[in-house]
Amino acid sequence: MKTPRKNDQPATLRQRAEEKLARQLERLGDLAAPDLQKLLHELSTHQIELEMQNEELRQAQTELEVSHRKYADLYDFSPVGYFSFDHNGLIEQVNHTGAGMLGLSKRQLVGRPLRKLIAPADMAAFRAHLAEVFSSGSRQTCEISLKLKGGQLLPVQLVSSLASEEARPTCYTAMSDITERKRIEAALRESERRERRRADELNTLLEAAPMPIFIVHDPESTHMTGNRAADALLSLPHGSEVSLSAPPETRPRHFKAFKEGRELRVEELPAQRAARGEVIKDFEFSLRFDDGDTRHLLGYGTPLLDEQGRPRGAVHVLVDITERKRAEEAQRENELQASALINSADESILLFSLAGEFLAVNSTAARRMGLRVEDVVGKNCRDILPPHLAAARIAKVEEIVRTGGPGSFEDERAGIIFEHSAYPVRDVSGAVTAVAVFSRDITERRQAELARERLTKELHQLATELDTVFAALPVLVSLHDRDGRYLRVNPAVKALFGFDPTHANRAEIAGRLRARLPDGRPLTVESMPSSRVLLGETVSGVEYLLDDAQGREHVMLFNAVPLRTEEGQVAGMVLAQMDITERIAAEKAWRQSQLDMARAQQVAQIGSWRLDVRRNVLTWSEENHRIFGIPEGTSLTYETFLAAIHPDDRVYVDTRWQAALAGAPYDIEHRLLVAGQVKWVREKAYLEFESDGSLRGGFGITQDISERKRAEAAIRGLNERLGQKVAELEAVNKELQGFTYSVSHDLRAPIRHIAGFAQLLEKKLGPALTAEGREFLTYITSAAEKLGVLVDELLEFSRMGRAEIGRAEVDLGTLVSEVVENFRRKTPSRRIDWQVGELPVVHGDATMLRFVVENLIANAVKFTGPKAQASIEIGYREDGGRHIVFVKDNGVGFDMTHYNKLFGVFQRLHSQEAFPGTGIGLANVQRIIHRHGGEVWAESKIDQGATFSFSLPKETKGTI
Amino acid sequence: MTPPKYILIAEDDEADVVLMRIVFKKCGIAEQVVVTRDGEETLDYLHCRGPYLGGARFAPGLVLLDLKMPKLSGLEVLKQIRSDARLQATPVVIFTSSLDEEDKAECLAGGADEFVIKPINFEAYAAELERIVRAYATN
Repeated sequence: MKTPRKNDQPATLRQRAEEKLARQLERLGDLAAPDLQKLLHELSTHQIELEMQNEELRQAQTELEVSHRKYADLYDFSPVGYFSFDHNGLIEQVNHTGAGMLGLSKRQLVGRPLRKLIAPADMAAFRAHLAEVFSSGSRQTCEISLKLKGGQLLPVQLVSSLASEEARPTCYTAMSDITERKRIEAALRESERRERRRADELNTLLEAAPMPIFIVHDPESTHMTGNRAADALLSLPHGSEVSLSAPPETRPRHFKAFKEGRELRVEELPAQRAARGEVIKDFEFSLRFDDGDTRHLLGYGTPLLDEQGRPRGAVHVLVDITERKRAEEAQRENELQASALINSADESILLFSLAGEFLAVNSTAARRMGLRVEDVVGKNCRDILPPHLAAARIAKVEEIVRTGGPGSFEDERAGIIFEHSAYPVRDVSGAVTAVAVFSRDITERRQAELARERLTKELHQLATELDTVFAALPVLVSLHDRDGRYLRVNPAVKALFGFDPTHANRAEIAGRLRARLPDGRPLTVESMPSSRVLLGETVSGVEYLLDDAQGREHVMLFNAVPLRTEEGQVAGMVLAQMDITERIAAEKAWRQSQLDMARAQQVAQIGSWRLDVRRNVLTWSEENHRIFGIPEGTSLTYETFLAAIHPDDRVYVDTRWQAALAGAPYDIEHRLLVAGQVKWVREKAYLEFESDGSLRGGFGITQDISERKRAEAAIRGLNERLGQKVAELEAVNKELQGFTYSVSHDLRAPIRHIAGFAQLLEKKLGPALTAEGREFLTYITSAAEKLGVLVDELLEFSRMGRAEIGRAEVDLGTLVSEVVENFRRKTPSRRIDWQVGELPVVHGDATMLRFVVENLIANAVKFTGPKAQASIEIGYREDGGRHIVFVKDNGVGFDMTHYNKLFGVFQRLHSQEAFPGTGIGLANVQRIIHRHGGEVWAESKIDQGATFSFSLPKETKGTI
Repeated sequence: MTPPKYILIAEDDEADVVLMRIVFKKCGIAEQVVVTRDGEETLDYLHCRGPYLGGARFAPGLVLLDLKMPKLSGLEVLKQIRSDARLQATPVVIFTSSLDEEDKAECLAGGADEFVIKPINFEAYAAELERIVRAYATN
């Protein structure tokens, strides 16, 4: 697009061109011809130029017109509303946008005042704005709100300037919608207000925070301020410069920073490090002030960063831990003092956990364990102490915990006796958490106590023993003063005197008890041996006689010693007298017994000897001499002894004696050859030996057993003969047994045959025989049958003798009632009054006992047969260790003169016709009862019944 | 008709043999009886040896055995019978005079089917034998 030219009017241009030409023509008058030509040419050229220019202008005008239209469009559709007002404020022109903003058309606006459309509140402002524009002619701005149709307000900005080129000044005003800007401005204002409030709050917080807070304002920390707490800490007025790196004129100088005793350089200060970009935490240091105060501090620093993230300063916070630090130090000091105190104590101090662990111990305790404190703490006492000690102590700790109260106990370790006092340690809730034990070495104290106790005990024991001895002494002991008065006596004195002589003097005693010399002469007080003792003499072994209160004579042995004062004067005496009456009697008796012994030996033909190797004495009793035929007084040697022994027995005796010397028992029988006569002796020796095995001595007897030997020989002969007899009897017995067996078999067969064939014969020839012949056959048959029964019973008898006896409990009551019941059934026609009493349970063979009962009852039934009214009583009584059972009947009885045959085999007291029987039953009964260890017997009178009794031992011991 | 059973009587006492034959005759089985006189002969018969070698014989349906016999006792014979597999099932009844309990126990333990004591009374004797024949020797 062409650069637009200045938009001049053509008329004006013409005028200027003519003026220009006129000025040039003036100058032409001075020109020469060539110059004219030249001028002409120039003019022609110029004319062409002008024409060209004119053409250009025309073009330009066309362009301008196009442009004008364009501008008119631009004007109309610009985003800004354009108004032009005359000096009366009437709208001269308005563009399309301006009209749109007001919601009206151009026509509705042009020639009318704008003020009707302005919010009443802004009316004045608008008028003033226009007035200002017109009066000053300068560009003015104002903001008002338009009142749109519908009452809606539209904030707009008016930018107005005056165009006074024309005749009438016109105010050109650009109106733009500032709704958005207003909204943003309002939001900005709100945000700013909030920020300010927040800043206020932060500032208040900063100022009011109880801990010192500093702001470092530059990375070099040349400027740093603190809040009130910070200033208070540093004792500075509020708002002071606090940086130690501040310029010298403002820098504070009244404190210095230290860490672990060393002064910190300024660049090491936490604030400065933070300002350089480091985050600081828990930096412990202290500030020392000139006035001597020291504050212990924990420093925290956080760098402040600028927009580029570079450190621009820091926030620095301090926590004042001075009080805590001091408290800690004070506590540490206390602990140190306590520790020193505890460790210097002579007592072991131990703190046990409830599990028996050492929580703390002092050095004394550790030393006593032979360990260092650190080796003990944390260990369990079981790991350190001997098990029994640990167990005992833990038990105590547990007891303290259980009872909750303090306690004390003692124990011993490595010879040291400890006294332990234990106290429960409680936490704030009162629960026991540990037990403190204080242990003191009380060994010396205890030893001293023990020694004293022992001494006291020993003394007491000694005194008691002496008292006991004094009281128990069979010797009469009395204590006398220097006048001989009895001060104290033991019970033996009282017992013999028959009264208590304490406080009596000797004359009074002499008046009550008569003392004599052994020859019978009376003893006076003066002649008493005690008188000599009171003069200072020690007397011993004086015998005298004393009659006691009952007049019994005692032989007394008198001993006494005087008691002296330290100066040696006699102050009293102690008498010890012994009643030797019995000893003397015993001596007499002994002598008598020696005599008796000698006589007894003589009678019993027992000699004795005694050997004492140490004294080299061998003594034989009289009887020993007599037995050996060696006269008394003969020198006794082993050879003398051997020589008396039968030559055949010498080797035997010598061997046994040598064995006896080696410890073997010596009790032998052998022969002697005394004056050509053989004697049998029994020798027995009791030898005694020293601990080294050598012979100390011994005692022995020699018994003349010649008589016994002869008797023994006789008995041996008799025994031999007896043995032969027994053997013979056994053989006979065997034969008998064999016989019995044969009887059972061999005898029964022919009997059976006789019976059998007799019966067959009767059958076959019966009718042909005479009556007498048939009767004979019947006799044969019944005889054979009886013989059969006899054989069977005999066999039974033999069996009873041989069979084993069962041992069981047998209820005789049951057994008897069964048997009685059987007989009742078998004898329905009989009138029998059965009386069965209480019967015992016995031990024995049930089958055999049943046999006994059956037999006795069968006999009773049989022998009461002739009685119209029979009576059978079975009863029982106890007799010491045995049961006695009887069967009593009112039968025919028997003559007691034949009693000895009653229990014999095949013995019968009645005729077979009257009472049939084999004569074996009672023999069998007796045999059975004997084998049960009992007896059987009977009592009877003819026609007056009989009583059969048998006994059974209650115990089953013994042979059956 | 089943063949009749034979009875072997081991009995040394002639008188007993006569009595037994009388009873068996009465029972109608007199022809079915063989008698041996001692233990050895009894075994010879049962084993077909000695005098019975190849001789006419029959297997007995019942052996009536006396205990006290010459040469070999009835108990000995019983034991030998029972130790022979072929004779295991043959009924053996001990018919004796012995009252000895020990004998009885030994025989029953040795395999006897019954131990019968010969009654003295002949009627009882006959009745006992008839019972035995009925029990063991009839079809």
